[in-house]
Amino acid sequence: MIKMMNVSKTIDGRQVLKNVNITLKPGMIAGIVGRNGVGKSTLLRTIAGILDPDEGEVTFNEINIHQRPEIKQKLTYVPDSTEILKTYNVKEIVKLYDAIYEDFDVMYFYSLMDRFQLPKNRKLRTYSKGMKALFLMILSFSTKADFIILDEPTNGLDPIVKRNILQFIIEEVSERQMSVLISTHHLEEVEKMADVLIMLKDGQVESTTSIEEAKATYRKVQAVYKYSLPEKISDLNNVTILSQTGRVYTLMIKGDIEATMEKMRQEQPLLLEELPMTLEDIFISSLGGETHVS
Amino acid sequence: MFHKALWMRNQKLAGPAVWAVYLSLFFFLPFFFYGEAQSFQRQIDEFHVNISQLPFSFHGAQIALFLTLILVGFATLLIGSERTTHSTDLTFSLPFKRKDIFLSKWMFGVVHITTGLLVNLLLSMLIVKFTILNEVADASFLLQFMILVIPFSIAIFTFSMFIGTIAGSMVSQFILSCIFLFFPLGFISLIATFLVVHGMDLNMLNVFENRLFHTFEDLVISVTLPLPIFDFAYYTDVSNDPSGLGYTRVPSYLVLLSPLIYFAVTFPLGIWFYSCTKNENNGRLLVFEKGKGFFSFGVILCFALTFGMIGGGIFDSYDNPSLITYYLFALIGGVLSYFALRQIMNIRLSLRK
Repeated sequence: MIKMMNVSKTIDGRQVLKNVNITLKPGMIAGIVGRNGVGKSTLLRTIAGILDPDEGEVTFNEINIHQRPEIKQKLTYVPDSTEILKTYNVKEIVKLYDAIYEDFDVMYFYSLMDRFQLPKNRKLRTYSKGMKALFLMILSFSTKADFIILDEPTNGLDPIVKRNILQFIIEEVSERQMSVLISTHHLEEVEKMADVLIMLKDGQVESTTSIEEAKATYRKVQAVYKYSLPEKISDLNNVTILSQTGRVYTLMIKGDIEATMEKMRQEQPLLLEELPMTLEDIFISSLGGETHVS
Repeated sequence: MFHKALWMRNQKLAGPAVWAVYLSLFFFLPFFFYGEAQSFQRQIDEFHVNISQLPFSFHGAQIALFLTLILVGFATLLIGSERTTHSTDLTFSLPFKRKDIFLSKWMFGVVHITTGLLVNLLLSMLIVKFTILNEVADASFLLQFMILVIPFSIAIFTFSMFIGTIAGSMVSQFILSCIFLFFPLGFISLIATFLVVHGMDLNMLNVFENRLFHTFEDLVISVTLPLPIFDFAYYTDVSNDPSGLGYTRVPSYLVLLSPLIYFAVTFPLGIWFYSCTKNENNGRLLVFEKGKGFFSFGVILCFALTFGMIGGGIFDSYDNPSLITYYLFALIGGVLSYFALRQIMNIRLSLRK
């Protein structure tokens, strides 16, 4: 079990992580979502032991990973950069990982290379970006780690390989009771595979819920009133306007759904209907802003 | 401390430096002596025909500068290159203590440097012993050179590794290592000029007369790591000195205290700094935020003193340095370096992720 307790981290005078608390149990796939620059990579690099927290601690099976990094035999990190092993060829990497990780399974590694049709007799620098990303993931799973951190794992992968690799991650987790923490901007991936959704906002954990819980907490509705949206509705803290076209409003309600719907009905709408909701709607409404990219 | 995997990783990172150590030492030592033996044979053949002297010499200066650059480059590939290429993300995510990572890098470097020097110096001794050079020279001067060059090389490498633990990139590690290796010589020159400009007689500073070091200059050479290697010299001319004993200029063995002290300070500090490194600052001039103020102060002071020295030297009249010009130039140097440093501190030198 991995635990982040009260972790804070300041970089360049800006507090990137503020008092972050996360607990992940075995057999769980967790997706971290948040806007650019919100601290996702910093969070993952802190868990992997690359960055030291200014405050708080990260433990894996109750052992502090910064004080006893040997525990990382069972914890691997796949960075978003695909350049890290580019000077190596496949055989050299296998030799290196076999020397690093006690449980590195060479046969399993080569079977995965065959499964995903990756060439074995080439230097990594000759691979395409997607092939490198896939290769690093295969390498990571072949270490037989109990906890794997994937930073933007599907960047550069074509849709077919992406589907296969996501399927592969789900298989691994269900077979070996391992945990995977994924940071991604592709919300549909998280929606398909993650058990837990961790939303980061301004360096803090905005919410940690299951996908079902998240969806149950929110409701997306379309409403049309005779004039504009009544102030009684727009002033509600749990209502966010997702879009507006003339008098047609698309709204997101967060929590207290039935009571809010009742208030909306009392304002005698011309139209009030529920819309199908995606994770992206939740992302936009809870992590805010339309155009800001930092 | 020794992990096979870390050794393999170091081999990949610093492979070019390992080759450079062995090949350059081969060319600077055995290859050089073999060439000298052939040239000496020719001189003997032509003796009394065209020439009347049979000199043979070896100077530490022939190898010292290049060796220093190779050692600094070696340390830079082991630490700085990882910071610049972001491969620290791989190394630091591995199941190894940071202390062990540093120690394996240091050990890797020391093993190759020591082996390279030992093998090539022994080969050189064999060449001196079994060629015509044996007639004029005693190969034991190479043993004396070995006793000097190995500890100094290890100290220079350890010092550069230490600089790597505080520098944020390959470029800053290489440049800062080169600057700080020669810093005592440079800084003392600047201070000496400052004192002379203010009317102080530097002869008064020869307080070391007849003690550990003969002169103040000896002390400066001893504390500037690469200089004792430059200082080593062996010279013989059998036509003037038939005994063939030759003349060896070896710095006092007391200078061996210098690499020992450098090692005793920079090795544990290197381990400590590497253990609490701030990888978020990789690519910057310095890794640690806390030392920035002190570092900036030092750089500005040195630039001010340098500009003062240059300005005072240019505009002095009849060897009377002008105090006003000295301070004016020092001020210009200080202000310029302040603004330049502010820019440099914020630059992030890194290769594409």
